Amino acid sequence: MSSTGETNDVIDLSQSEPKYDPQPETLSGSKGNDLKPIDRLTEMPDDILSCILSFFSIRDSVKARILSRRWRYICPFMLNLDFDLHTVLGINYKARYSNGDSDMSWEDKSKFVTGVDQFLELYNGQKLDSLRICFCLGNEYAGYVDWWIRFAIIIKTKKLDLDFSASPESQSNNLYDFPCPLLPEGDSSQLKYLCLKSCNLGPTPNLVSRLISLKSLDLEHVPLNQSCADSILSSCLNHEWLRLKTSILPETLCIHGPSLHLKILIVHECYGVEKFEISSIGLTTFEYIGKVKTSLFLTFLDWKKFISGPPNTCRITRFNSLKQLELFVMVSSDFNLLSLTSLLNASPLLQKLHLLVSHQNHSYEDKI
Amino acid sequence: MSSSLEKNMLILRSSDGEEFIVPEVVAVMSKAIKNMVEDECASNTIPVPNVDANILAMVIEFCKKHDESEAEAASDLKTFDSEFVNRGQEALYDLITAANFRDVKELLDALCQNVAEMIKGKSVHHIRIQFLGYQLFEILTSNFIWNIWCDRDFD
Repeated sequence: MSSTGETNDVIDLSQSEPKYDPQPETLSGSKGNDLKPIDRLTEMPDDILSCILSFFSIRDSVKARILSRRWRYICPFMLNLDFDLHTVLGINYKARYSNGDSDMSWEDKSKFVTGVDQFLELYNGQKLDSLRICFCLGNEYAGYVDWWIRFAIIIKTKKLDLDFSASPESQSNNLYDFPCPLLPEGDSSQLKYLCLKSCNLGPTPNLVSRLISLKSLDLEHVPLNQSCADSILSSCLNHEWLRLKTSILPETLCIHGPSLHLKILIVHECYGVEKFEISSIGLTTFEYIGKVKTSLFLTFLDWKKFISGPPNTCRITRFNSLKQLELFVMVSSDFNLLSLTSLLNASPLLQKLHLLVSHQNHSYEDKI
Repeated sequence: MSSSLEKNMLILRSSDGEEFIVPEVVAVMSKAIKNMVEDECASNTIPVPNVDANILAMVIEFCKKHDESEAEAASDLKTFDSEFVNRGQEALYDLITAANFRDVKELLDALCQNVAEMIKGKSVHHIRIQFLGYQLFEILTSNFIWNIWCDRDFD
């Protein structure tokens, strides 16, 4: 197989209408009906052909359209659509870009968006469990991505996963703006899980209620300013799971309000945050990884588990019902183990402490 | 015959008149039969038109196995499925038609997956000749550029 052949291989996906007819008109016209391919598989109803296609990869299911006229408009039943480098552009592209230093070319990007566009245009399923799009796309493709999201909302997708993080340095100032206005109003929305990587999420105050039906929100490399963070965190009444990862956060992160359903809060390697104010009744796990030069103001807690990085200068009011505490401490030279006592004093119901201290290459464990 | 029939047994009559005595739990794996039983419009004997004795026996074998082995390991059932569907194209399509018409979802999925596996890894030429009833000369005389595409294998 030549390399040009491999590039050609994607065209069946990215060209809207195959130029070539698999059943030459001249043949069927001149020789009569007896030469038409009539066979058992072609006679099967559309539902069966769709069912067969659903066992193919996305890429193969599109390729199958060139088999014959009968197959051209058959669309697979798929409950989970997963578009990425591999499923849309094929395996050869993966090898080409796996070393990570070469940027995605403009041609490949446009092949990708056209491919996804065409798949969704012909998709006639009635519902979708999840839609995942993983590719390096910035805000210049917002027109396409908005359309995909609109499509996902219309067919009541439960989980939406947008991962646009392929090359961080080239697009940090051109992140895709997640279109909150596209989400349906009120809590009728079927969208329960939203995962954004390398996007902007900045709902204006009148739109923030559109996020209300979400159960789980996962933000990675999504910068949040104070007003956005406040409005998202205070209005997402149904959130049970929230993760913030490698994002730029505002100085103060407030999570409070009696009606919050938040059970699990995970903050990984986020920058800029100086102070947490958490008073959420239902919270069972708070996992924090990163430097702590922060103050923690925590009240009304009913936690089972608290996992944290080094708590150097924590000022903690009280962990009223903290039962399990896991600490992983990277020790600097001036670290004093006694600084942890304030943490222990504040946790009267603590039943299990798991402390892992690592000092350069050495580490020792301590369990109570 | 029907008077001596045990409780919870049904008689299925194939299109060519052969009768099979089947436990009701097995028969209702077909949604179509289930609906008939629930609506109580089924007497003891349920006609299964469009499905001949040969195919009906296979479908019943499949349903019986799936009914018995609910507790068994899923991997055993998978092995059974893959052996069960490993048949010639004709029988396969008859089974698909029967499973579709009688609405037996597990069987239909196993069969469709098998057809998909048969197609995977083959070139478009190959699929057209083997599965879609194309004649070799039709493919050879079709557009040259199109032929370049047809050499591509399915992944």
